[in-house]
Amino acid sequence: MDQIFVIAERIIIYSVLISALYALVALGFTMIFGVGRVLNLAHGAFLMVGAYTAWFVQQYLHGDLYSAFVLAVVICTLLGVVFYHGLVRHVQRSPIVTLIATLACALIIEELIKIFFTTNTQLLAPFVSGSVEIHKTTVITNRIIAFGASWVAILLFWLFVHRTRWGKVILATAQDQEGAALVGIDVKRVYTLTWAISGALAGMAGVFFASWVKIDPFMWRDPLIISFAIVVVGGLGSLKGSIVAAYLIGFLEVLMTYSPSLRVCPGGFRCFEFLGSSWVGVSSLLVLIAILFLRPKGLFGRAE
Amino acid sequence: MSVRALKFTLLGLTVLVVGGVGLWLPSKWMTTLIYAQLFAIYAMGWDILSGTTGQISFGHIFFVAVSGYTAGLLNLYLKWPIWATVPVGVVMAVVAGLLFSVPALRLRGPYFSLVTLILPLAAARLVIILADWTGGELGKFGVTPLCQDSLLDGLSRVLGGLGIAVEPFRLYQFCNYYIFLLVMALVGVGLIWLGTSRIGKILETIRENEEVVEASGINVAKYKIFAFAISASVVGLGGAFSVHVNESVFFNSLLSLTASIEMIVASVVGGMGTIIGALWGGLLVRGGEQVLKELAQVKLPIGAEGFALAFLERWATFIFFALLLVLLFFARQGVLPFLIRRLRRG
Repeated sequence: MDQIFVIAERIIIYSVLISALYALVALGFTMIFGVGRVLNLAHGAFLMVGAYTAWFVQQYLHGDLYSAFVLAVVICTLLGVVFYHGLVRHVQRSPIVTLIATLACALIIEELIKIFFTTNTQLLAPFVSGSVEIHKTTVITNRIIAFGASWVAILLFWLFVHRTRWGKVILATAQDQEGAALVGIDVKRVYTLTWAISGALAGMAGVFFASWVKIDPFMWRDPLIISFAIVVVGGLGSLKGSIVAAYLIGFLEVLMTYSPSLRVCPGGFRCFEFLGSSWVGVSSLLVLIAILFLRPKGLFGRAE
Repeated sequence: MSVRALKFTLLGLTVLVVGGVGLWLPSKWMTTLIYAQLFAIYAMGWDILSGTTGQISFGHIFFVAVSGYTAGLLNLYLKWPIWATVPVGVVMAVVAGLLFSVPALRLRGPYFSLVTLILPLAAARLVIILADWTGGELGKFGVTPLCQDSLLDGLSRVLGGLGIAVEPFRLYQFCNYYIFLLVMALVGVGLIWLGTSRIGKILETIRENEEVVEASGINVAKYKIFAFAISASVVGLGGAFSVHVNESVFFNSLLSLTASIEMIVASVVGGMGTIIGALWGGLLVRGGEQVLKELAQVKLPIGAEGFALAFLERWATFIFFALLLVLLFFARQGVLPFLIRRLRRG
């Protein structure tokens, strides 16, 4: 019985921690969709660029993680802007072409990383090493920092959107592009800004994601699936929905990983065994497909 | 000449050329073309659903996987012969296609595409989780070859009777090559016929304006489901054959995300919704990749030791996706239609 409480506690703490990161991962993706109606399939690749930038700074320039972090955010911000002006702006009108083009870009980034940094798995040194005991659960300190920083970023983003002039301009554009243009808002500039913010958020999320898991040229797929799942569950373009969905999916994922499965042990007794980390990602996919079956516009989605 | 007759003529010419070329091809190129034909089958399967109805699928490799793993594992574990594994594999792909068409009918445009992207990723996870049975990323070997000894013996006896002696490996390649040519030709005939029939017209109109089709009293859902089933069966047929020609269930060929995208590229290159264009695109894409690899071996007489183009092999995939982007910008209707229009204009 005692063991069950320990497991339950661990599941709750771990899922609270990782869900914040998931929310951060999905934030840029959902904003780009909400404002410009563009599904950016290269969002995961943006994260990867952030992660590799940070790793590169650590590995070759011998910088600490803080300077690596700043550089990753700067590079991803620029990448977002370049991506918008170089590509998305020209294909935006056709959703299908946008999907193919952004996916092609993700694969191009994957290829470039394979060519220059090989397919080897790399590790990013954490912000802080060591671990902390929370009640009976051991938590890696770095993950708590990633959790805190994710929430700070999310709250800052929320404040920016709801409490500043530029935030209101973004909201207005999201609601009605033509209306916004009519009252004198430069829609192109708003888009540039949202792509820059989305890039910055992706860069941050990339560094945290990398220090949480690992770095390899295929790491863009999981964040993309996660953002997609979160955004579909929460409704495309809804910030509140995204955060709720991030927690739902994070919780399910941790539950899948740490929930004991019954197996027959040697001796004929039933005993517990964890499903294991290979199930990460599967649960979000299953939830996603189930929700799409039942509610094609997402849980909090608006009708269009 | 009607469009249908024109397409059939083009298909006939293509089959004649590919069949004729096969007689004197060196064995390396033989292998390339076997896979190119397989890929052309995939591309045509993609085209009848996505190219024709405009619902772009990013995950058609999923149907390859369903059929391929079904056929391969049935053969490996239950020792089913090819004439049983291939049909069962195709049936499973169709079942998967039908199941999948249910949510797909409720999703439009990008939402549909996104879900299709998720399916093969989920399947890949499952294959790895069930690695004990599927062999995971390493795959499992020992699937019955497409051309078994009895068939090869028969072939060599027939050829021997005609006074032609062929060495065993060459014979084996010939056998695979012409089986695939036959399958590709049959699929081509079937899909071109379908694409130019009344059903094909309806599917095309669904792409252009779904509401109009609905308003004229046609059950759109029924036609979409039908397109799904046909598409899944064609791609599944290729998948089941591929397992037998590879003699293994191989993760990288049955669940490659890149292959899903390459199907789109093949179809875009040849002209979406034309079937024959997808066939050409498929042959071109795979053939082109091999050309890049061949070029990588060439040493140019620049400088003292010669300048090797070895980078081409590493950069092949990159070049490939970069070309796709260029295509999306400049020739969205397909390269062949684009060139034809250019030529006409003079």
